[in-house]
Amino acid sequence: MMTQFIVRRVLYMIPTLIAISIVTFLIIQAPPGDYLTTVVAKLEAEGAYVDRSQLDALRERYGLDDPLWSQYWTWISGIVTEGDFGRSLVYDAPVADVIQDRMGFTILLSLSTLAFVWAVAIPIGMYSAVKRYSIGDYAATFVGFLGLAIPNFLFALVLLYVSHRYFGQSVGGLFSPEYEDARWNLGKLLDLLAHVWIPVIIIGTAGTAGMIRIVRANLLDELNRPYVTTARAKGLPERRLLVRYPSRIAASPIVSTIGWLLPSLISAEIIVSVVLSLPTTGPVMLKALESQDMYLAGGFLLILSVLTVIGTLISDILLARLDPRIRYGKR
Amino acid sequence: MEPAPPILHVENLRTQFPTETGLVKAVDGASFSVSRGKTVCVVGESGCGKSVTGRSILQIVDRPGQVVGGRILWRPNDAHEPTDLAALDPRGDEIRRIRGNEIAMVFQEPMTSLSPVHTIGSQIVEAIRLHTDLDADAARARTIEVLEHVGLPRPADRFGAYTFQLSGGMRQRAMIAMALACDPRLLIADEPTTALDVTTQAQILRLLARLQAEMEMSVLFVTHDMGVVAQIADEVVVMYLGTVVETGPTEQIFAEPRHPYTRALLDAIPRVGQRRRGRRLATIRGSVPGPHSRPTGCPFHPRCDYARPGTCDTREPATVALGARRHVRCVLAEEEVAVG
Ligand SMILES: Nc1ncnc2c1ncn2[C@@H]1O[C@H](COP(=O)(O)OP(=O)(O)O)[C@@H](O)[C@H]1O
Ligand SMILES: [Mg+2]
Repeated sequence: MMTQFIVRRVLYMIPTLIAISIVTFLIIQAPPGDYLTTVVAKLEAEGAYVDRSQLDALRERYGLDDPLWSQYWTWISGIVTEGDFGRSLVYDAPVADVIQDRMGFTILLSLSTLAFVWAVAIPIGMYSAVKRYSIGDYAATFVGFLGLAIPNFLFALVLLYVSHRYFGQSVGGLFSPEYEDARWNLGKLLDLLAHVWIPVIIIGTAGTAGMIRIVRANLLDELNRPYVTTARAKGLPERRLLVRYPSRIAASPIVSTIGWLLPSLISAEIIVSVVLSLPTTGPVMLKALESQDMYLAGGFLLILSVLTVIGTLISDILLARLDPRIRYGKR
Repeated sequence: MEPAPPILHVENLRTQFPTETGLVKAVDGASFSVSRGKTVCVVGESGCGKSVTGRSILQIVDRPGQVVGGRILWRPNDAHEPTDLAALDPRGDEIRRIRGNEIAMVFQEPMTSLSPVHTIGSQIVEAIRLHTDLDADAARARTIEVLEHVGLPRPADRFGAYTFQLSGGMRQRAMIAMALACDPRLLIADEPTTALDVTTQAQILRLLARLQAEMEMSVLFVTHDMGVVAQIADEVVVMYLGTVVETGPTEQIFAEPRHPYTRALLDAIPRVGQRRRGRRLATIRGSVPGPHSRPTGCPFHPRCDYARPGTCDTREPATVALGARRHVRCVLAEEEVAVG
C-alpha cells in the first residue's frame, strides 16, 4: 500500500517538475535581448573588443538562433544530462560551480533552522494546549507575538552585537577567519556550530512563534475528542495518552507545512545572509537578480523549486504514514 | 438476612463544569446503586446528565468539569471495604488501575470514539498490556479471542483493520471487545446503540445481554430509549436535570411509575400500529431547560401536569423510599408516604 502510494506520488511529480522548468526558462528569457546581448553590453562597457567569431561560437554553443522550444531543450537537457546550468556572467564561471558550494550551506542552514523551530515550538505549543490559560500559556503567547513582531534584520544586528560583545566572536560569516579556507576537521566543525546558531535563531524565530500557535490550536482541537476520552477510559497515563493519540493526529497539519516551509526559510535567509555575510545562496541570488545574470538566477530558481517539490513529497509520505486514511485514499 | 452490598453505590453525586457563561451543574445530587451481576438502565431525555454521571464514575469528565461532591463506593469484592472513586485524584494511578480493568466503558459513537489512525487490534492490545503481564504475542492472541467473542467475523484479519474499513455494527463490536478485554466487573455503556440502525441495534443489545450473563458482569446502561430499557434492564434509574427522580425494578417502573416524569417517558414510547390507529405519539410537554436556566424547586415542575404552585416551584422534593429498592423524588410521593 505504502510503496504504491509513493510510486504514484513520484509519478505525479514529473509533470510538476516539467512545468516548473518551463516557467523558470521563460523567466530567464523575459528580459529584452538574449544572454549574449548582455555579455556584449558588459564587455563593451569595459571597453573590451568583442571578437565576432567568438560571439558566433557562443551563439552556436547556446543555440541562441534556434526557436524558443529548442533553446529550452538545450538548456534543460544540459541540466538533466550533465548538470550544466549554463555560465554565470557575473562570476564568469559555470553556474553549477557557483551554486555548488553555497547550496550546501543553504541546505544546512535551512535544515538546522527547521530542527530549531520544531524543537522549540512543538514542546511549547503542546504545553500551551494542555495547560491552556495557565501563566505558562500566557507567557508563551506573549513571547511568541514578540518573536513575530521583531524584524529579522534588527534581530540580526542585536544578536551580532551580543555575540561579539559578550562571546568575543568574529562578526558575521559562518566561520572565524582562521577556518575560512581551512580543510574540514573537528575544529572547523565546532567553529561552524559556534557561528551557525545566530542565523538559525534569527531566521527561525518568526517561524517558531507561528508554529507554537499552530501546534497549540491543532492540539486543542483534538484534546477533547471522543477517542481521547476512550483512551483515558482504558487507563492510559496522561503523558502516554497525549503522545500516542491527540498529538499523532494534531501532527498531520504540521507535517504538511514542510513543503512550503523550505522556500519560506530560504527567502528569510536571503536578507539575514546579506546582513551577516553568510556564504549561502541568498546573497548570490540577490546579486544575480540585480545584475540580470539570468542563467545563474534561473539555476537557483530551478533548484529551489525542485527542493520545494521534494519537500512536498516528503511531507506527503510522512502524512500517509501518520494517517492511514490518506494511504487508503479515504481523504 | 442482610442483602448483599451493591457493587457500585453512588451517593449524592455532584459534577460541575465551570464555563464562561456560568457554572453548569450537570449532575446535582444523584444517588443510585448497581447490584452485583445486574443491568441497571439510566434513562432520561438528552441533556439530563446521564453521560456525565457515567463518566464521573471513572473520573473522566472533560476538563474543566469535575466531581465536586458525593461518594462513589466501588466494591468489586464483597470481602473488601469499598473504594470511594469520587475521592481519588482523576490523574492519579489508583483510578487508572480501575479504568479499563475493573470498570470499562463503551461509548455512543464508535467511529469517533476509536482512534482513526490506529488499527483496532493495536487499540485493544494497548488496553490488555496496560493491565496484564501478557507479552505482545499473548496480548495479540487475547485480542483476537475477544474479537471473536463479540462476534466479529474473521477476527484475525480484522486485527489490522482501521475504523473506516468497518461497518457501524462491527466498529461497535470492536469497541465492546476493547472494553471486555480485561474482564471488567462493571461495564458502563453510554448509548452504545443510538448511532446504529434498528437491526444492528437489536444485535448489539443481544450481544451485551449474552456477554453479561457469560462474564457475570454488572452493567450500567445509559439510554434515552424506554424501549431499550424494557428489553434489557433489571432495574431503572430515571434522571432529570442532574437528579435521580425515580429508581426501581423494571417491572415496577413500567407497571406502576410513580414520578410524573417517568409516566411521561413511558407515554412517549412509540407502539407498533399506533400510527395506523390514527393516534398521535404522545410527547413530553415542553423541553429540557438549558443548563443555565435550571428551575427552582422541583426541576420538573414547569413541565409537570401535576405540579402544585406554591410547593413544587419553591422547594426541592425529598427522595422517599417506597420499597427496598424503590425511590421517588416527588412531593406527591412524599405525601402518600406521610399519609400511609
Ligand atoms: N464538557 C462540558 N462542558 C460544559 N457542559 C457540559 C459538558 N458536558 C456536558 N455538559 C452539560 O452537562 C449536562 C448533562 O450532559 P450529558 O450528561 O451529556 O447529558 P445526557 O447524556 O443525559 O444527554 C448538559 O446540560 C450539558 O450541557
Ligand atoms: Mg449522553
